[in-house]
Amino acid sequence: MSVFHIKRGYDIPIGGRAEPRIEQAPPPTEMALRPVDIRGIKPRLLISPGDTVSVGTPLVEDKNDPRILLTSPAAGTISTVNRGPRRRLDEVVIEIAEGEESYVEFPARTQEEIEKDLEGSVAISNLLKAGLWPYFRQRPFSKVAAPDDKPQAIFVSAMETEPLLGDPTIMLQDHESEFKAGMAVLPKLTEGNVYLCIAEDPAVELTCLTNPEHATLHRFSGPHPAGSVGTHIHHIEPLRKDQVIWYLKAVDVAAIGHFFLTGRCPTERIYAVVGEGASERNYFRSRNGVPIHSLPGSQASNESMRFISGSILTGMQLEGSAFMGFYDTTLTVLPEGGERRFLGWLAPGLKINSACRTYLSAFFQDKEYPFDTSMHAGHRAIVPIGAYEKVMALDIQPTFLIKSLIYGDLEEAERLGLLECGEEDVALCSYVCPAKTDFCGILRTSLDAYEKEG
Amino acid sequence: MKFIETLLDKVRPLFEEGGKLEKHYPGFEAIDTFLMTPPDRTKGAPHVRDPIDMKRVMVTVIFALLPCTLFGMYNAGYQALIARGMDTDIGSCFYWGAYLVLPIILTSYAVGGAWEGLFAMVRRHEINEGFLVTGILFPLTLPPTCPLWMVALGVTFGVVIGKEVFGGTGMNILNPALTARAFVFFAYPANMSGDRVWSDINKVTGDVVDGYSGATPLLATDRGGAGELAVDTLADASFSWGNSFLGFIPGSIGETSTLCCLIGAAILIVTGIGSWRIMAACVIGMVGMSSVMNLLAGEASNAFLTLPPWWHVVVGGFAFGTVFMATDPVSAPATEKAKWIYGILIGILAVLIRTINPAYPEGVMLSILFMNVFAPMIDHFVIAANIKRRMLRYAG
Repeated sequence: MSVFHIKRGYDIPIGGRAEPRIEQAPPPTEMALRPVDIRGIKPRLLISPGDTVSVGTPLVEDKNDPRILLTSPAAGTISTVNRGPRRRLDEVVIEIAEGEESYVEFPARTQEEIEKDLEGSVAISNLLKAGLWPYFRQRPFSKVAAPDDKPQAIFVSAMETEPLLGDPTIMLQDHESEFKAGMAVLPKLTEGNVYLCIAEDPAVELTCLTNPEHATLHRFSGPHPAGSVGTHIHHIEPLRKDQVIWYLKAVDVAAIGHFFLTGRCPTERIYAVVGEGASERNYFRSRNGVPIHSLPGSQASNESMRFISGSILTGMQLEGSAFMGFYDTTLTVLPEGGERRFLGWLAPGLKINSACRTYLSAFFQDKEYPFDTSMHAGHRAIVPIGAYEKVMALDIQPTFLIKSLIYGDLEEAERLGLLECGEEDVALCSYVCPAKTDFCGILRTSLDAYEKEG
Repeated sequence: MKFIETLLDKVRPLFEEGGKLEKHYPGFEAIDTFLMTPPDRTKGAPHVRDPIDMKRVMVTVIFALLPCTLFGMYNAGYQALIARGMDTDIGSCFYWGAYLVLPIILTSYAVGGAWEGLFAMVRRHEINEGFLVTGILFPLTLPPTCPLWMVALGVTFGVVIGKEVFGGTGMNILNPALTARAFVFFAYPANMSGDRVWSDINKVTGDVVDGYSGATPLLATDRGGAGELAVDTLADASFSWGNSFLGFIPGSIGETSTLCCLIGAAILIVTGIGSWRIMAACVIGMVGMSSVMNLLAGEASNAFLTLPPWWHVVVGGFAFGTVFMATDPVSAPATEKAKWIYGILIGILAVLIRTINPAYPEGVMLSILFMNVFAPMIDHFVIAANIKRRMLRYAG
């Protein structure tokens, strides 16, 4: 085990963390599968509204690789299929049947059987059928892993440093055996190493995390992005040329463990509800793909709020009536901004805080500040004052990377480290940029273009 | 402030696409966002943005420049009154100084701002706030007696040739303020150097009081005889280190007070707007090179070679150039290692030009411009090393 101290980064001093206690959320009446969240698949609908489904019934397959299935998170009736622009498949909504839920049954195994008898190919085919495969994502491109790839390594992260995100150790505390079972599956899927990355001082000390049997443990400390998988990969075993690395979240490993132990698709998911706009900030025991409004705490006050599935840096904006994202375990309720400040450039700034210490608040330590969705300024030409470099935890040159992306030289960008980056690695650059450059958006467009061109 | 918002919203349609004054949108945007921060909200991740903007960045630099500007005004008056043998009470000094300096600053802002606005209109982009800094930096590098038409011509050259021909803010290779300064320096040497331009003396009669030389410390050192010690030469010309540090010496408007430059440096470093690496590197280069020169100085060498490092800091534009010019983020390198190399070379070159080159007693401006040209190359090598290092990791 080694400890990595990340020095470059930034913790946004935003208030609204969740209290570390788990409460039961009221059962939802409908739930949804959201293919739109899953990057790298072309969804084809397998059912139609009115069909009856069980937990684990395939609802969607990938047009490119029909082995990749997405399955129902609940038992009931398909009520609607919501489509976005250009008939993009956004959500499949399931109305939950009353009474005992029916499951699609798979073989159940004991921990010992998983460790000794389960073969990698069998594990993959079971995961594909059960719709759990999309939890495996890959670098480069941050998309769903291809089942036939031989990954260079598998990374599991059991820490979060993105602002306000729920702590995985709290979510895992009642699921240690499931997590262990899930971890036992991973070494069967790669010839390389399996790495488990945890915080140097986790909220809860869990032996399944501090003493993993099937993975190499590494600890990370420091400001965000110390907890991002891109940081972990970069510092532990960087992505080699023409290789892929698979990564998944610790809570999803526990879900996979649950599946192999019980033979049923997992339905439980613990969500953290955070943010200044949330009326109750707690962890809530609920289910995969619940509607936002079924989570206590999401009933915001009268002010206009933005609901974000995920974090304020990388999450996805949702309507209040929408459903939680496929990968997310945190709901952030953030006040909408847009209020105009008179002579904002001259304000002493006791109530606003910047990573550049240009407001007076910088000289009062350890305070939390109200943040909202204001841009605060219009777009300008990039003046490289060194703000990116201060928050870039990877050994790449962010100013030159973004410039190469803006002028569209993908070869140059590749040499500068494009393929090592995902949105979460550069989100802080977008955040701190005084010229308000959309680093994340430009990176995503470029990654997509690179993938297309091969 | 609701009424300002209402007023702005009322006239906004005139400037937007299809409006009567569509062409003037950059000007409207500049005024609009000057008065009120824009109402825009984030679209997608990240959902929050740092409240910093270019206005705040540039205003911070202007705050850092305020001590130099105010003291420069005072000193311009002070030097004029000494030369004329008049009372130097603080009020008169400020009054006389403001009379000399304010028109120069206003001319620079007005003419430079007009060019900036014109280019924004023609090229259809926002007016970039970087000019707020260029517009004050340039006057501060001028002698207080600089004619206003020269200021106008200089700032025009700086903005148009130094910046806009390269594509505007963020794209320029040379520091626009220094480009302007270099232009007037070479185009009108009689108004930019010598010992008659640093204080406002009676132009018709040219009279000064007895014993007043008007030379800057650098010029005085330059005139020192072979084998003389620079410290003695400066003492003979009645320059004390303390006075030079505080800034009560003839020189360009903003450059004379090392103390004020240090205050500016502190503001830039604490806020993170100016690169402390570049500043530190400039000083390291200067100290190293001037120590070498001190060691090399023989009996027949010129006095300048014997000028010790602590004098190099307080005379001429070294402190001002190091703090405000070398750190210009656009013309300096962007990688951190390159900043060290760049700064050290500026320090070395500045001392080299001062001590060895007989034509120019001052070398800071030229060394910074020279290194501006090389900044992309230093960056290139640092990035090549970064790429090589990562390629080795990818291979292993």
